[in-house]
Amino acid sequence: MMTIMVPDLLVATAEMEKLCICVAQDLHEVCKIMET
Amino acid sequence: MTLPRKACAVIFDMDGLMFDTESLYRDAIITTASASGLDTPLPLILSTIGLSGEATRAVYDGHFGQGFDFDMFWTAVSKQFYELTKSQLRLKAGVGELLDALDDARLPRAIATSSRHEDVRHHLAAHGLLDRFQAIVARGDYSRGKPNPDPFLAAAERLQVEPGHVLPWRIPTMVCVPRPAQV
Repeated sequence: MMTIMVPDLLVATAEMEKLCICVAQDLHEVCKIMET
Repeated sequence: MTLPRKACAVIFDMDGLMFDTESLYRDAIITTASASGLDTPLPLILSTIGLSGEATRAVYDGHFGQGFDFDMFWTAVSKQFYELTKSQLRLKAGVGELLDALDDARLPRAIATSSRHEDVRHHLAAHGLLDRFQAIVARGDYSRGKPNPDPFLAAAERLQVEPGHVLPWRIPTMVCVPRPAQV
């Protein structure tokens, strides 16, 4: 699966960032990623 | 940034991704602890995000030591949380826009969460989103909860898509199931 993390209270660690395809600020950003 | 492959389905985490519930839990813990004369530093609360119930219990038992009644504490936290959701359950930014985009793309979607089914229904209904998901996987639908990826795997099965490799997760996550490669 293609994992997108959208941190809330917990910040994504460098290890998490390496494992997922991106760390987004919010679902607006995810929407843009999905539409491109 | 673009997806490396086109998606054929999408699976949403719920708490902290769709709804601003992580902050409500934080506030419920602080309020409940304060009423009992207990100090719950923010790093302690954050250290339990994404942990199983048993792991969370171990963290609090370890912090407060002997004599601390975790079950009584968590029951009070839950009660406080539900009170907060009555007036402060907010959608996170972009939820409606993303669901509309998935509708336009005709992509099926599911929720995979550690929360209870009744909480999922409550939260979705509060924002008119009950009919926007083809499947809901919640507590009781899998053997190993967060951070194990089992809820996402169960959701993929409900959507009848091949999940592939799924990461353990502790922070709000959305996964896009890649469209199968054409033969």
